[in-house]
Amino acid sequence: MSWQSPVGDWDACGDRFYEKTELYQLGWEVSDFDNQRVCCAREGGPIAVVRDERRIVLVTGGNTRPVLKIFTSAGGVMGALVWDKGSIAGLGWTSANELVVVEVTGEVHMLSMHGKILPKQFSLGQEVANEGITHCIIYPTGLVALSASHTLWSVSGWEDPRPQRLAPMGKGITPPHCIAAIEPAHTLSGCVEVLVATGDHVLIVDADSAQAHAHGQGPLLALAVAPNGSFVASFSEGGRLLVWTADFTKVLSEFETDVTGPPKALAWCGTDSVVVCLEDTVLMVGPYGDCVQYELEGAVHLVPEVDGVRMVTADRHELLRRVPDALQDIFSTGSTSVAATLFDARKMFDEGNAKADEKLRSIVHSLPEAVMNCIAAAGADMDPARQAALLKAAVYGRAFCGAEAVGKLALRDAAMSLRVLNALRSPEVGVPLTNRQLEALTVEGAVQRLVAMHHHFLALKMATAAGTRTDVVLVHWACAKITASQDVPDDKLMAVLEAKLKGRQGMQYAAIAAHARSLGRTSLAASLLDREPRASEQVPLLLNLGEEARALGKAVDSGDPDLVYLALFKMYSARPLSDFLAAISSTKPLARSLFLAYCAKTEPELLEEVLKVQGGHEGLASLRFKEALATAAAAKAASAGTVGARTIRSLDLMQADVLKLIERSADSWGQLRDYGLQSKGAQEMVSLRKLQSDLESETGNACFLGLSAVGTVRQLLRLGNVRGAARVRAELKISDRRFTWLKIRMLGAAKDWEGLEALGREKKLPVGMDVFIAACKAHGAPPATTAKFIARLPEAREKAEEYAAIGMLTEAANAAAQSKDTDMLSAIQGMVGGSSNPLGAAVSQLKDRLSAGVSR
Amino acid sequence: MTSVVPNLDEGPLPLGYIREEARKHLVDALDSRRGKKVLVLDPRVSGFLGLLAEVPLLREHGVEQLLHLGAEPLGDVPARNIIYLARSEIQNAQFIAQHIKTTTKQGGTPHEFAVFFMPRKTTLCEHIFQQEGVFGDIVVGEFPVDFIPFDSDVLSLELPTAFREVALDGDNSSLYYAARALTQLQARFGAFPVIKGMGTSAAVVADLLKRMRREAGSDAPSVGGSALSMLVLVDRAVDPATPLATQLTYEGTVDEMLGISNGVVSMESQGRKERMTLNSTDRTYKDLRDVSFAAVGPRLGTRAKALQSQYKDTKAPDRSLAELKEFAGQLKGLPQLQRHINLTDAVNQQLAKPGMRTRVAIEHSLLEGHGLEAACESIEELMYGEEPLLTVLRLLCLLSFTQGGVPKKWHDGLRRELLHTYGHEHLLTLASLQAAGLLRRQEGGRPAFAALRRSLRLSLPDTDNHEPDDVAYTFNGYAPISLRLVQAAVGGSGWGQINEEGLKALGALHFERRQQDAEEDGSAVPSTSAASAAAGDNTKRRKVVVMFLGG
Repeated sequence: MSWQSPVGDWDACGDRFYEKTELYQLGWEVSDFDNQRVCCAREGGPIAVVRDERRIVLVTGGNTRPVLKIFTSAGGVMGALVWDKGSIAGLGWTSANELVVVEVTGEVHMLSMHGKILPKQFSLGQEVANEGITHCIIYPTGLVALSASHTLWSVSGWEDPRPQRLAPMGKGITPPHCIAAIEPAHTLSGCVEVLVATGDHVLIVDADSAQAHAHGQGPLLALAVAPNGSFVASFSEGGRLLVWTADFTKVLSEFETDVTGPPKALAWCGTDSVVVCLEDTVLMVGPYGDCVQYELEGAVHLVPEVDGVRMVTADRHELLRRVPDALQDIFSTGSTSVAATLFDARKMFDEGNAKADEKLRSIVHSLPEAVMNCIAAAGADMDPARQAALLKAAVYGRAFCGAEAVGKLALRDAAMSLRVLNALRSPEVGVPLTNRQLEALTVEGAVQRLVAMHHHFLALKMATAAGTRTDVVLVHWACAKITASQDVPDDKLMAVLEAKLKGRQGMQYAAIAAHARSLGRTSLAASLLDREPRASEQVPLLLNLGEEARALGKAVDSGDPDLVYLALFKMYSARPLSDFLAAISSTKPLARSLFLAYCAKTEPELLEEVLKVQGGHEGLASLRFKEALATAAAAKAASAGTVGARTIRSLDLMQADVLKLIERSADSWGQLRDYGLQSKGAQEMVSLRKLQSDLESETGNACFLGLSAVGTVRQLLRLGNVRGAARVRAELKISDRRFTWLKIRMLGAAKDWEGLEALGREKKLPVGMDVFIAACKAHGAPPATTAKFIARLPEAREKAEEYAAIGMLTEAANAAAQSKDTDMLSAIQGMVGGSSNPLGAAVSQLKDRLSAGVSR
Repeated sequence: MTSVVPNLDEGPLPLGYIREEARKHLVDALDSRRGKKVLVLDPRVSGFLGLLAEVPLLREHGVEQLLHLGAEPLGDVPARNIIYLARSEIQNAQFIAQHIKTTTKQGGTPHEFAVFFMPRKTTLCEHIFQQEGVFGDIVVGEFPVDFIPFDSDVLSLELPTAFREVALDGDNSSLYYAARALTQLQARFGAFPVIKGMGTSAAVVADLLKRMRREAGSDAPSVGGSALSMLVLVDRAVDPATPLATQLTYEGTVDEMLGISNGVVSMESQGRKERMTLNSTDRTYKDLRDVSFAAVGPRLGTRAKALQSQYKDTKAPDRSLAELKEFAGQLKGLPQLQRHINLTDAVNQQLAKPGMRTRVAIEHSLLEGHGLEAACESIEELMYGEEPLLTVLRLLCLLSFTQGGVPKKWHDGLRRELLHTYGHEHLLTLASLQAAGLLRRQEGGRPAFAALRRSLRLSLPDTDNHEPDDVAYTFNGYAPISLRLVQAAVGGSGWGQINEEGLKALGALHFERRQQDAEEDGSAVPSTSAASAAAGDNTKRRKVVVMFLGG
């Protein structure tokens, strides 16, 4: 492929070059271009064209209604519709490339890029409707409107649009000449700031205040905010072009023209030069007051981009931009840069010129730099032939660099990015992005754009190549396919969709299903949902489709309790109880368990009903037993604060309830294997409570109910009611051993040492002396008492330990000697504190004797 | 005493981000309402909130008053905004609904209510609000904190009823939350190349993890380059013995005797109530926490003596300034040392109580498998002596687990005695323990625990508690099953280190899975590459996350 040097198209402006490149010839069907309202989306987006009703034109033919047409940047038709709504105050594109149409009355409509009206209509309110809009600015994330009474309204965000009134601009304001907006992304406050040129100054208006600046510079007939939001260009009545900082505190540059009256258009070219369209010329003014002039015929629409400005005229679409450094570096006449040398070397190599080698050698030390610059230049160039030539130069140079010197993937990435850019720029697609614009838009953004334009295949290839998410493309494709296949039966359509979607990781089938449902294709939606991997998306939608059983099944599979409950509640309210219960017991046990857990905490009656139906004896028994305990506690609380016959009767009723409930739980437990003890225990509890009630009425002392069996006996013994105690013992079959333990502990706690000793003297005691000793120690009995019990311990070793523990060391030593326990003796020796005192001496003697005995 | 939050970035994984994010969520929740506000805390949240944020931070964001969420009404609230921070549980939703109703009925200044549910808002709670007719009056938000960091290497979900819910109620919610938390951990550090599990709950969690990974699709964290090497999931039901037995390390004993809650122990020291923070930031504690309690006293003594002798040295005239400086630095540890000495004293007093020795002796014979009759008798006598119910229940369950059920001869008698001594209302307790399989009757055959003891070398009575060479020192010669399981999981491929007999005795589902990075087209990566990557990892230190399901 032969290539041409771009230098011929370059124009010098100061020390910089600018180039005007034709992007497309516009063969579109737009008649009378000069009288059209034209609105171009940023970053190579679509173009909306509609007749400008503000101009008086001769309308011929039948329909007097204007037609709104949408084209690609290459002039391809994307959609059209007859605009039968009110007259238009403003047009603009959102960041998602939806067209915003603002009527003079403040009605705001949103259209897809295919000209379909989207269900996102809203209004700026009654006040605006009454007054009408005079100026309107639409930026990608919001809009600003100026009403006839000079009130500014702002809407930020298209999702939940809420018109907000900005600060008043003060009384006696003259009608503004023009307005401009600094987008929220570029302001300190994060809210939109509106620039209003009025009288001889500019007002900066936000939600809280309106401040006047630039006094005496006006009237300013046009304002343009730089793409980075930091600078503002103004064009004043006297033909003076000024560049300001965005806060209007400083004039950065100044340029005089000989034109009075408003310019045709004013826009920024990148962030360092300003383009102003006058009657028949386009002036491009550089940062230092240098300028380039182009001829102009007819109307022009300027679209500022990050690195240049696009110019749309009746028959062509051009890009005016500063020549990127990398290109200037190589192609500028007489360049001796390393990259230019490498490029020449490759050219010579291709021509078979042996000097190629010599050239290459001259830059051998800067080869990596030269290669990288060639790659960068290829990326920046718009011409495929030159791109190829530049990449070839890079490949040539790389062959002579070390393997590590040039990034491994730099060439591959550059080639991929160029393929993407060239595909986007092709007239069939019509998205003329430069590499810097693509960077600003991001690959994901470009993919989304392509998808919205229904270039699904290209979008998929692009996403795959760039390694970004492909599922968005597929989901959009599937939705579009469903929309377009109204007449295709479900199973066929499903097969078509599956062929493309199957095996893709993390496909969002739910989104597709939701779309199918919105078109009324319920069963298709259900089968799509079946394939959704994320239960949190799947279950709610299945519920909306009325598929409760399937939703519950999926929820249970997911293990997410929240989803299970969601399905349960929906099902519970939608079905009769018996159906519902049948359904939850047929799914996995998790649903049933969760429902029971819910009932247990909120609706005990329902729980009982469910358990009865399903024969859950275990649950029923616990439920009734819990109820019994709760009633008993309530009765206790009530009895603590009440007297009087009536309440006593009701208390009796409560107690009767308690017994009844316990009996019923005994029955339920009785139905179960392995719960015999619970059943018997519950019955025993009934007799205990009856006995306690009897005791309370007999003694007139309400201090028994609720005590444990042992507690009751203790209470009776404490009150001296030995007969009662015997009765409880007999009734509950409390063993002799247990009873004796209780008595010993009671005597100890009461410090009744005599009583304890008396008990100790009883014959056939069912407990050992250790129990007595423990009671003594726990309550600080005198050593003499304790010693009596210790003396009766069967084993000498234990004796020694216990004696030692209460400090009776002599006895301890004797006992230790008896049990031949040398370790114990040593321990005692330690306690005594050596053999310096008589006891110590005695102990060591004992020890000696013992060891002698052992050795013998 | 000021509380010291643990330094979370010193451990094997930098966990500080958890606290940072939790603080951010807390501040966001507070700032969501303008002006002064009252913060009502679920007691189960307020406990560990101290680990995440301090009171001044709350004040900075307009909190005038802190209240606890409970059944009783709020009373007169000075601020317009009332913010709740609560676990998403039915009872909490009921309390909050009740509060709103009573406060609204009182009239007076209108209040605005906002509820932040931890770890997420649930259908269940919103359903309750709807049922109670207050849904329209509340703004419901989330406090998305799953793992609570207790130390640089300890995370907890703080779901104390999880075991009961899973074992008894069949409610697997806690397992879902465990999987969710682990998924988030993976999102932070990369996917676990290997997941090993033991027990039914472990399998449930592993399945959930797999599902969540599938749901995340291409967003799922990759295995390659993951900071994590392995996840070991152990179902607590596989080894109930470890928490049933009395802990004998320093940390364990302090917890048993005085109770550590949210990293803080309350004790009485020289007549004063004192709160002491226990985490790895305290160097003394870090060194001693896992030491057998028996060895703590001597070690503290050695440290104190070392300081003392150094102090004597410093008195010598020829000490250099640098040496003095170094000593002064060490002196800073002195109050810390003193506190630990007080703590050991407090623990010793509790240990001296009569039931304690019997308790440890019973446990020992049950775990070692001798003296069964005497052990049963001792348990009975502990009940006669009216030791705390929890002690008795622990021993009964340990008896049941180690013997494959309570011997028939004792089964009814012990339970009857429990009812007689502690009240018949504990019929329910016994029924629940039985239903959960923790307390059952012996059904012939050799108890599996005996086989387990042999196969896993649980019993090492000769372990030196002071200079241990095996974890068996933690229970005085008995190695916890849980730890042997983790050792086996970490030590080789699969559970291969455990022999057939052991696996049979464990009687639990066990598995090993590999997580892989799925390719875009869904084809799996050949397993050889995963294996070689794992082999390559051997050079750097492996990071294994062990999670016990059920506490």
